[in-house]
Amino acid sequence: MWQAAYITLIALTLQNALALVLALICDRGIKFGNGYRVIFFIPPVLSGIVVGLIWNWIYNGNYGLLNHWLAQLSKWMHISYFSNLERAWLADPRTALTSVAIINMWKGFGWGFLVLLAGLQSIPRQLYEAAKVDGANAWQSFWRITVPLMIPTFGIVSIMTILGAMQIYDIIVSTTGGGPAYHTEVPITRILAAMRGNLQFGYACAMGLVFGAILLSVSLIIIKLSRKLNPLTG
Amino acid sequence: MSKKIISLLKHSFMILMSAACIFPLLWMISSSLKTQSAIFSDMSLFVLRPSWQNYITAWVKGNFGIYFLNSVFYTVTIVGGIVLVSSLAAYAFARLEFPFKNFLFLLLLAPMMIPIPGGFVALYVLLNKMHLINTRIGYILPQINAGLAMSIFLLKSFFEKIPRDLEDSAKIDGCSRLGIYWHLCMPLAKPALAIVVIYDTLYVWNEYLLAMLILSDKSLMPLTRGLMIFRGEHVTQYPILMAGMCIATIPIIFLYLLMQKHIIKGVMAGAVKG
Repeated sequence: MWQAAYITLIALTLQNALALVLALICDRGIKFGNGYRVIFFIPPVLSGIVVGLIWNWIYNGNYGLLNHWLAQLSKWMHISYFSNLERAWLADPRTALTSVAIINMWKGFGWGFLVLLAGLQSIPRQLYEAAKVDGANAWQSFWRITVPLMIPTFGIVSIMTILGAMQIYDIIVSTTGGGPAYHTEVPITRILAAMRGNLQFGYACAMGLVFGAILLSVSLIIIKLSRKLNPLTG
Repeated sequence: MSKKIISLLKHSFMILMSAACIFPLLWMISSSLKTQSAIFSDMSLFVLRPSWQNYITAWVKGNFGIYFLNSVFYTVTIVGGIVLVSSLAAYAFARLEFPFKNFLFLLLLAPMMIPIPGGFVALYVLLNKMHLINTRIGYILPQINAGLAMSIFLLKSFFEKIPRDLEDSAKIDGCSRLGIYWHLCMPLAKPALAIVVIYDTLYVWNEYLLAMLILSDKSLMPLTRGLMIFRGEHVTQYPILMAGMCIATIPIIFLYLLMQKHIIKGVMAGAVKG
């Protein structure tokens, strides 16, 4: 549970901050904006299994691309710092969970980007022009116009991120399978283990229901909160 | 001058992120073309002598041919089922009068609010009691069910927007209820249907959890499950595994690129409404 919460926390902060920055850049009008949009949404349409297997190969301890690059970097800079970092990323208890969180982030940020961009584009342009006439700088108009009006969108994005990351399963099973030594175990793998390994169907079902209830109440709280903070409804 | 620098910075950031998105995929494709001996030593992205043999091995010996056809079969039947059932139900909810209509509608939408983990154990037990474990129908029905709520919701609001006058004039011309649904409402609802079809196709093609729970016979498995089985049996045959992954991925990317306008529009419209 806490391990899924860690993955969720990274998704909620880093991934959505990245998505917001990208959406802001795209919203202000940029050349090839549409092209970037298409590319950013490729990872979200892929299957979690395929994504996990690709990254499994990149993170591989002996033949992986990441270690290969670290070694090259060390050789090129003549210091051993980077080659000392080399490891079997997914088999090392210290890095396994963060490595999985990064995969999850890679797969998810395109989705957040698209939803945030939609939210940004629904803000009327006149508001910004009016603020400019009144002498507001870019920083002020971001905090006074963009952020308040984006609160409903932030609410949606956080619910989607939380639900998606807490229920992470495909990526786990195709990379670590919950290991090493349960360091990447998440609610769904636990439920499945109770169900298939020990055939405790009642216990598994109870865990599922409690977990489902937690997710549901968290999303309801966020909905309430975003209603309250929203200047138009609250 | 400073504007130019900022624009340059922006573009380089965007290009960096795009590269991060695409690179793992290119890496997968290039790995799938390397030979078993080259894959452990050759780290280059471009393969000089591509070995297409991997794909043939994956397709024939790795069973990916069977998995591929299964995936296509499941996707077509499940998406077809969802569209048929949900459009009929949505039409009924939008246009017909019957007792407990609103209550039934809420009952149908309830599953949308309940996260998956609450349900799949019970689903497994249910299917087991019905002797549907390890059958095609046992894999297809739950997924049709899972897709219904969302698409009924979408289609109902779309059907309600169709002007009643149009339907009345069709009725005067002698069209039956079902005729109106089929000849008038379905063609008019094409944009909404497109969203339903694309979403459910992506979802079903990528589905793994149910496939793992329900199917244990190799001849019944879709691609995602097949990949994991292959990895379990041949741990070190990376090039063939990568070829299998390409077989699983390339159709969906192709579909995405073909339909990207609809998909992106759908996500963005859904986000603003929600």
